[in-house]
Amino acid sequence: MITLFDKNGETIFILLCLLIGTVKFTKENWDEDAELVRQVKQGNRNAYCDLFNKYHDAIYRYCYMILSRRNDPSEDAKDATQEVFVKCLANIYDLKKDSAYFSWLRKTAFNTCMNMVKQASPDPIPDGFPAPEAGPDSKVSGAEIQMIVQKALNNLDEKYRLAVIHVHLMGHSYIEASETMKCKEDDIRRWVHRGLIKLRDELKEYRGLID
Amino acid sequence: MKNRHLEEIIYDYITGRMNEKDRLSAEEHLKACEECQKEVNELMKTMKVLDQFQSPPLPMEFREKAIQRIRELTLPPKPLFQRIKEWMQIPYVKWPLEGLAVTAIILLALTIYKDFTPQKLQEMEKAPKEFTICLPEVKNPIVIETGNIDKTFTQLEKLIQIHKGSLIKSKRMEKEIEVSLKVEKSEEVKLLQELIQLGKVRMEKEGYKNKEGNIVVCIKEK
Repeated sequence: MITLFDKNGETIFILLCLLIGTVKFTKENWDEDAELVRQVKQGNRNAYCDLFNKYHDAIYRYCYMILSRRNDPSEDAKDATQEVFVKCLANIYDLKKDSAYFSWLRKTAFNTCMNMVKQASPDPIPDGFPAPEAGPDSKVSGAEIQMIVQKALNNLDEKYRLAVIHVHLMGHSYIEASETMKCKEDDIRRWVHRGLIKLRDELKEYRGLID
Repeated sequence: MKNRHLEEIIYDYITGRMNEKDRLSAEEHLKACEECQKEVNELMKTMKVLDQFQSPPLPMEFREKAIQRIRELTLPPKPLFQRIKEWMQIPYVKWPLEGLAVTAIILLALTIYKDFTPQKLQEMEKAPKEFTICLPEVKNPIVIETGNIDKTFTQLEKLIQIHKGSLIKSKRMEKEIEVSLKVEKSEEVKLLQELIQLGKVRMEKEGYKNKEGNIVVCIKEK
């Protein structure tokens, strides 16, 4: 074995193997989320604040969409967002792949929201906003469109609504959506299509939106 | 697909979630199908309206309160695996254990390869085997180390003649000559004593004779 190190070439080769096997100097390996999660696991609270600052908007938006059937989706989504980050910190050592933090966060958000929906007594679908009487010449304002779309979404079957939220509004792939909703990819594709067709029919009631 | 309506793949077509072949096929169908064209247009408009659906903005107080709550939280206890990982952590080194294992395997493979390269095996086959005459039979052949094996061999022949013995067999190799000889018992001690004149002699008290009772001598180059 000692003779191996007599020749310079072999020593360099072995050192190179060590480098390839152990060292990660390249940027793509040095994932920002993975690094922050690694620091959190070592007890750095500030790193978790950085993760919160990075993702709380996206998670709030996601929770808002899922909880949009509730009476006060905005307040519920805020509670859900906080709970998601608290839960994820408490279970941070369960996360095996540090770079997959965001998808883990998203799945936790989905489960948290679904639990909130299940646990609470079913809220009546909010329809407090009156359907604007849109005549052929009238224009619909941005706030009104917001209300109309929310109502139309809430009138959908739950699976169609969730499929449209995940794939169209949140921009997830079919695979991601199927993993989150625990169903087949083809089901998601079908539900998105049917959801959109139903939304189209519903939105057609408001002239000027689809015509 | 040419004659089938797009139906469920309309969304994939509009959002570009399909491969080139399917897209071309869908386009071909669309050229001929007014029904699907209408549906594509309507769905595109629906999606445009849907895109305006936004969540209300988060107030700044929410962020501050949440950060405050995170700071007040007790961090979960570190599991054993995490503590071992931290203990082994070397800056910039991602897989210390795996790296060591890979290196060990490479070193082992290199060592084995070095000992059994085709060249080395050839050399081993070519190399003269020591004690080809006597080794299987003789335990302790007499070894004479000398600078010139041929000269020593001639001197040994003369010594054998002087002591009225006879040379039974000899084998010349690259760096040694192996000799088996026979001599009268009365002359044997004298001959053995005189071998010192030929070079550096290594000799044991017994075990230098083969089955036939012949003395085995190896003249080796220093």
